[in-house]
Amino acid sequence: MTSSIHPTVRLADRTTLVGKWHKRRYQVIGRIGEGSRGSIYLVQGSRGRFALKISKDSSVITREAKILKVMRKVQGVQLGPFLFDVDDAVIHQTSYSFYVMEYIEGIQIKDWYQPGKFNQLATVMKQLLFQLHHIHQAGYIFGDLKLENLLIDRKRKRIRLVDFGGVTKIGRSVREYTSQYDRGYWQMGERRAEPSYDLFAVAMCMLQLDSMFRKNGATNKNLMRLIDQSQTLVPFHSILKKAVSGSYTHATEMKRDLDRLRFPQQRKNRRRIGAHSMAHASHQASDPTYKNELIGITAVFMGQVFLFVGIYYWF
Amino acid sequence: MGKGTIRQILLITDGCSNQGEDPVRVSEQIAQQGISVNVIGVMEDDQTENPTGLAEVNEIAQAGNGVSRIVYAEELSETVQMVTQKAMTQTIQGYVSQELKGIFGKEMREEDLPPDTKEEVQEIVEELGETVDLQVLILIDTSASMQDKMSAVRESLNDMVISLKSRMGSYYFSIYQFPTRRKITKQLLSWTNRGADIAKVFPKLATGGITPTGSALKEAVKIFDQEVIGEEVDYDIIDTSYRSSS
Repeated sequence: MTSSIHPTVRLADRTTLVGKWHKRRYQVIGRIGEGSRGSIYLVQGSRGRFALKISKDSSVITREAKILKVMRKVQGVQLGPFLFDVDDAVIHQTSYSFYVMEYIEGIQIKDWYQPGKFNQLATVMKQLLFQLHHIHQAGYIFGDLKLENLLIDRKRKRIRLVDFGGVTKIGRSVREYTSQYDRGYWQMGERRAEPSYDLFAVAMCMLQLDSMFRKNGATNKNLMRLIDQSQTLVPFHSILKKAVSGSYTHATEMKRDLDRLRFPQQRKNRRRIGAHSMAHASHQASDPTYKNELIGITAVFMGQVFLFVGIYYWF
Repeated sequence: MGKGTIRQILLITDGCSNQGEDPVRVSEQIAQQGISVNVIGVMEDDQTENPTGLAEVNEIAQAGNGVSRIVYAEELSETVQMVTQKAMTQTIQGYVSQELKGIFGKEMREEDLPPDTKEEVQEIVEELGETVDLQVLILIDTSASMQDKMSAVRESLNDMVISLKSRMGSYYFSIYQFPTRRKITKQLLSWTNRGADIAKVFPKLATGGITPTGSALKEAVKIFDQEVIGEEVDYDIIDTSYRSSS
């Protein structure tokens, strides 16, 4: 038993890890990230590129790998990164546990989101709620839900949850959280694992996208007022308030309310799109290819008329 | 682990113990009584990673079979929760390895088990961690240099109670400060499970010069011999008079 000073395991690029139990080989390409529980590296395996998580604290690896396995069993819905391998490797005479999972190439929500794009935000949040619903159905909550743990998957064009270290069985105490997203910190409820705990965090994720909230949220703890002040999220205010006050007990309820939202901005956008396409059409009139098309269409039309007249005279 | 209770000490300090007994040795002795010694070192904002004054933080925890972390004041809340949780898991793992030793007839560390078996052990550890009873003695360094960190300490203790409350097992905590004017250490709060009591201990922040960490540990650990009487609570505020002596 080692006292865990810090769980980071530093791996130089091109280090090769060989699994003690399954004998698979992985070569380190570079570091993806580092957390309080371990580090994640991009590695090259025999079947492609993967993300590899390694920690000095083997219980972290065992726990997360187990959760990813449970998430894999949820039918038909892909929730976590796909888990490929769990093993131990000896590096500099010390044995470390690691697991290997699908490498998700994605963008952080913060870099992807533009304030005012309500439709996009709603779509992504509905995808998130759908995934959370299935995690809840499996008897767990995600726990440590925060912007950093959400990625927009470029390949699959949808939101993906990463870092399943906070996943907790419903009914237990939440083991890992981040203050700003934790309802206990905001004095809005207990730190017990129930679906509404996740839904509170969903609301906090949305609020964290508002610059006013980010500025005032660090010092002020009056959530309701902070929501009112979040100017870029006005259409979501009532949903956010319901989510932080624990009115939603199921992810589906929050999703349904998002489904019902109609955004005023949307109509304006559409009008703008309409005007835009018209301008595009007038451009096309002077385009030579457009003229050719016109001639072609006229020819076909005339041909049809002649044919019709011909048939008429035949009888 | 008598009657399924896990006992731990949580020491919050900025390091640099400079008087009295060697804290590492005291910590080792405490661990022999089945009490883990966990330490959180608080850094100054301008300090970079692992300053020398905090080196003893890791040593004390290592000797005390405990967990240590060195963080900035603003990270305290999350750290207190993480350290308490980790220390508890670690203690349970210790007992589980003992059991495994009994089964296999030789020293069997968790690391030596194949992944699938590890998973099963983990499940048992987690289940126990949720249901076992917990006693935490919190020992707060109130020496001069800790002065501006007190509000963060208070916040983190409030936060710890929120987490403890959410567990299935019962819990008790008590709070000690060190140093005080006349004594090495002083009990501020006897065993309690009421989070509201914390506020009564922190009406004013007080601080003094020396840091007799080892002696304070030795003194405070005696509270584990006391019976836990749930309701009867007596609290004392942090000694404000001590400031003058620094």
